[in-house]
Amino acid sequence: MIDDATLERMLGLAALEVEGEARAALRRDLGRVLDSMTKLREAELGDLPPTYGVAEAARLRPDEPTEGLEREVALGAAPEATDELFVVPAVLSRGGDQ
Amino acid sequence: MTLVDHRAAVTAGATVRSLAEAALERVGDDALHAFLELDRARILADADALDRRRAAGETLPLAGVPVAIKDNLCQRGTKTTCGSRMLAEWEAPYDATVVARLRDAGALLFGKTNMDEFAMGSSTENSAFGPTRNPKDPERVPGGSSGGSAAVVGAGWVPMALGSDTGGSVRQPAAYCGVHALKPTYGRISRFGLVAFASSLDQVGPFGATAADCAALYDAIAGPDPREATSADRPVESGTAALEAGVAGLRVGVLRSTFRQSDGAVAQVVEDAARKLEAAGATLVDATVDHLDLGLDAYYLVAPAEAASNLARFDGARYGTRVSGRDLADTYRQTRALFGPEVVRRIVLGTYALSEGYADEAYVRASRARTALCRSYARTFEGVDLLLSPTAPTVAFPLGARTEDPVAMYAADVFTVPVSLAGLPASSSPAGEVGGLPVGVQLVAPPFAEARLFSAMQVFDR
Repeated sequence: MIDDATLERMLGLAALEVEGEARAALRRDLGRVLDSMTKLREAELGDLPPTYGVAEAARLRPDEPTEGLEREVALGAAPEATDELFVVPAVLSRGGDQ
Repeated sequence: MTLVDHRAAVTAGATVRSLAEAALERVGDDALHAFLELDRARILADADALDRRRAAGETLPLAGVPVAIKDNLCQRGTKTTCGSRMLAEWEAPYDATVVARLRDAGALLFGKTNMDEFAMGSSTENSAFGPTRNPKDPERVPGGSSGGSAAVVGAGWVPMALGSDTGGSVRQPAAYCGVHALKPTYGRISRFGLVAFASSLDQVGPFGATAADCAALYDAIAGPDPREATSADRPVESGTAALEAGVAGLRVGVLRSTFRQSDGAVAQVVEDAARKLEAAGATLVDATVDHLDLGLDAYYLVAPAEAASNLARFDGARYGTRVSGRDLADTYRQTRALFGPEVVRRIVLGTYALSEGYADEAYVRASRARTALCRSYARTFEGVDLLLSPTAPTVAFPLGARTEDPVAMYAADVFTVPVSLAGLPASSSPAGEVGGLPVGVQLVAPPFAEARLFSAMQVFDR
């Protein structure tokens, strides 16, 4: 099970807002999924270290300039942009009064 | 039509355009809803361009054969929606490496295929644009998440398609639609231009109507890519060359525990498939992989954890759709409300798995189980050359049958996810049918032994 306070914390961390019936369904489904994981909970794993990836040793390319995405192309995909910048709602007030 | 048929037609004088027109006619009005974008004018213009390349004397390994592309792979100038409202209007500004390689090899890029939103799902019912139907029975799911790609090949519309596989997303739909597919070793095929879901697991994989089609597509896209840091710097053994090698002398480990976990009729079909390999010269031995039963639990913590991190980029600031709110934080939340319920479920599950107070028992514990699995596979492969199991425990299920129960939905991946956690190459091939519905046989090989898989996959086409 997952209680509502925990769910609220997770939603906040993930910048998600889920309310009403959808929230109840989400909580119920998460509980079912977590409750189903009995095999992992009960597994005897001794002192095994974790594996976070299975790639061979990271391979670096030569440190040379290569073609990348042109700025105007990247900005062209944005919901709002100037010639040079992505535009988002202000996060700081102009007058410094906050 | 297979690649072999297509090449023969081209050699006999058919134009790529005429073959493209025939393929478009087969698709008709896309009764399966397998495509999210099928730009007929562009496809025919591209076919004309391929005919000009041929006329100029260029050798095209793929001879203008139509290849469908899963809609989480960037194809310059087309929408790449990932089956999500978040990217409903986003046009890819560049080609994924695999797409660029297909262009170079002379493939005809033939539409973008439907998928579960951000590749999260096992039935393609999580697409924001509606489900795809199974070509063998339109009342059933095609599997997922690459359901559209599996369906277009299974329907005989095109001989090849690209998908992506994080926990089984090419193998399980291939099984449900009666086609071949391969998930490569982690690092074998570039993911540059693949929209990330779970980065320690995601791989691009080819579908083919035959093992030969699957191998030809693999040969065109596999190999090192300087633009992808996890791309393995190793030469690629040709899948096509491996087709004729046969399986004589190979030791095939039969994972008996997976047969017991499957529907009886499915298990019987896969048993018969094993006997087919034996008849072709392979030796069958019973095999076990310790901790196999931890795969599903570990996967459904590791993959969501990585997804929670990867999908943080969808904030409405740099690309995709923005829903404006009161301020920046509210804009993030309003924009991210575009995610469908399964994506939300996984992001929250992943956030939980990574959070202080829970991470040790969730993400870290799952990652320790991953170590156990990796080591178990390595031990088992000391005694066998390939492992065999059903690809999925059942045949394709009816549309809507599992949408209300995520645990039942996730169970469709029980035999494919352990392989993904270990980063191993694996295939699914048509093994037979139960009640007119296809059954897939999964083969797993040691790292970078894809050629061995193609040698065995070919046996199921005989």
